[in-house]
Amino acid sequence: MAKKSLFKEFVKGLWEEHPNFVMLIGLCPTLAVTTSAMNGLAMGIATTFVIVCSSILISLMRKIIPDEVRLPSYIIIVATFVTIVDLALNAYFPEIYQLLGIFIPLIVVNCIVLGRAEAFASRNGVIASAIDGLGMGFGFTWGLIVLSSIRELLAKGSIFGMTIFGESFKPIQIFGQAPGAFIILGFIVGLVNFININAKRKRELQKISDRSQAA
Amino acid sequence: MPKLLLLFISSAVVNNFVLAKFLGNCPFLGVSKEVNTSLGMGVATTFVMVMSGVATWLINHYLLIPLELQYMQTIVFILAIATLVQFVEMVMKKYTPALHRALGIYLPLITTNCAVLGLAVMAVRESYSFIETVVFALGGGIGFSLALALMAGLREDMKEDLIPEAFRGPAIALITAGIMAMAFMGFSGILPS
Amino acid sequence: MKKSNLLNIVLVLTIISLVSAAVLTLANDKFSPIIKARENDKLRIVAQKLLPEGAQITKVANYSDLASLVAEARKAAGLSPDWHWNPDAAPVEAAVPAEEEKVELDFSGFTFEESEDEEEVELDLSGFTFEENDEAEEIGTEEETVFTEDSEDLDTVDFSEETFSFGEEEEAVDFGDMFGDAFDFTGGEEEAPAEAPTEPAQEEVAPAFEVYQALENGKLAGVAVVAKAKGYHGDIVIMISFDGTLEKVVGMDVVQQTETAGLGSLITEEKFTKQFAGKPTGNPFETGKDIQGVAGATISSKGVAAALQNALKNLEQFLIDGTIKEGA
Repeated sequence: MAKKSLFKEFVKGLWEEHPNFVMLIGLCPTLAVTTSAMNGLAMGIATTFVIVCSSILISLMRKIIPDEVRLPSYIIIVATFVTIVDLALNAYFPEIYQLLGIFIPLIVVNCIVLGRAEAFASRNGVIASAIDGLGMGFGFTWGLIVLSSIRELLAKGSIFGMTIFGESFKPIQIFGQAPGAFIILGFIVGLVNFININAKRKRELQKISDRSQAA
Repeated sequence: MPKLLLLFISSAVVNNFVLAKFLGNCPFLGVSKEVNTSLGMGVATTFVMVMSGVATWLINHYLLIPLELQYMQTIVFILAIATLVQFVEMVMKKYTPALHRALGIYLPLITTNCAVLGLAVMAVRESYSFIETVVFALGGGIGFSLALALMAGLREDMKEDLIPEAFRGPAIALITAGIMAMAFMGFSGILPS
Repeated sequence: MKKSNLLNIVLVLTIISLVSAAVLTLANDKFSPIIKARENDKLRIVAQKLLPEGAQITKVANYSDLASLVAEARKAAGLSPDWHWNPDAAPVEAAVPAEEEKVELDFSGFTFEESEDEEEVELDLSGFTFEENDEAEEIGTEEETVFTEDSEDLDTVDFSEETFSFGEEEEAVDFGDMFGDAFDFTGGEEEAPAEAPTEPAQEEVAPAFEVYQALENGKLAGVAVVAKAKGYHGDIVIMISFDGTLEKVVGMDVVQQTETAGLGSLITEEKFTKQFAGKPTGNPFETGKDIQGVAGATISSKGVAAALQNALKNLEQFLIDGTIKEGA
């Protein structure tokens, strides 16, 4: 595959096909673990690792795996990587492991992972699949960081544990809890939509004016 | 008995799977455009949740714990759930074709519904007994259906409303869900302190 | 992809499963010793933080050694060699001057308001017996003497709605048993359902009791005790450290908890834990009396209080005969 299209595979996950804000998949961990920026980052890295590794392996094995048992095979591969992440986090980063809780095993059913396996890795080469996985993983990670930073800022007045608002700031507890997660994600999705719609409109206007000038 | 009733209420409304524990959000937003389809999805999911709760409890207690293979929990559970969903679909197709026609299309989606795997993992971590697991699963499933149906009702009503273009669809649905979650937080008062 | 026959399908699936099982077994063999070692080491690391720096810290195996070290340290400080925890002692705030006292009772830091249908003479009497008699709690219960606290107003503390009566004392102690089962249906009024609860890693077997001693030049410089009690979601395990004479609390830390994130989990924050440093051990260790609970997380705060009480009760018993009272 040409270099330019590889770059395109990487970038599309960062905005155009952003998993959280545009495709709206993998929402459960997005909403659940984003109580603090650190959590969001940790979850993002763990998920990226699983996406990249399983994309590579599935792409390698795409010619061996019979079509009929495609999904079970993918599930086994993904679950294996998830278990490794689970054990490794428990061994080396126990605090993060405690904070992420059941959402580490639930990476298995994160639609992003299986979605990339099914839609991309099973049809493309190893390098393209790895890049695609990396792009999606990074997109997911920055999405989590943005959401969790906003939530942490409003609920605790800090980002990554660093105090931003002074002592006089009254924390808004609701943003640390379930309703806040939904509402803030809703507003981010709306904002992203707004930007995309405006960009599209501008392009169309440009086209029209180009055409009228030509005529 | 009151303990089980409380567990049921807790998992159905107070600690609602969708609105308090963030499980099963993909179908919650994806299949909540019409009340009828959302009810179908809810019934199918509840059924699979109870079945998989039973299956994973049995697997955990009679296979993983005796063999000290708890670290294989995730992979075994998800395979068990996938197999179960396939099996349910086959049985439905053969014996109750009408039901299959109604619910069949939702079944493949359920395998990747994290509420199902989440329920199995949580039941293990909270070390629930067999009966407790069943009640927990039933409550969780009904809570999921409730949230889904309410959401679908709201979205049907909102269809005609004047919503800014950027917020139409998922954005306004998420904000609505946030307000619903606030309302569900109010249920925490019904549990005894 | 070409259509494959059944044998091929079964073969591929089997191979994938076997490989995955093998990989996982290898991973487990590599990681599980680290996980186990960390679980064992966790307490020692916390003990190091809570005990004097530079001291030689060891886990206490023999109670009589520790008892004689304690007796030695207490004699050197001019105290009676036997240490006992006195939960009925007046609660003492660490750095807060005593408030004015309306009634002649030895509750510095508290003011009393007689309940409406009570006469002041009776109140005095109840206060008197309370000091003299262990069974005073019963009298307190009958009379329902209500007193409110107004000693400190940290921003984490919300006492506005809380009143305490003597009758509650027993409840606070037995708290862990009241909510014996691991269900999370307690305290509707304070803890919102909210937030994915941080679940315990696995069935961690945290010890109900463990003692660490710190020796400096052969003398006892400090003692740290591990204790646990039920919180809102599961066990709360704490470690509390004392000076060598066991008269003063040096520090407290929450070792393990699974409380609601962002609410009950605030018991791990310094804002909450630092209040214990410097407190005399002759304190009842009850929320609302001498412990400032975390606002909105009464049950978690009470869990910590119960764990602290367990720590003191167990240490007292341990120094006598090496057994423990609670959670054995």
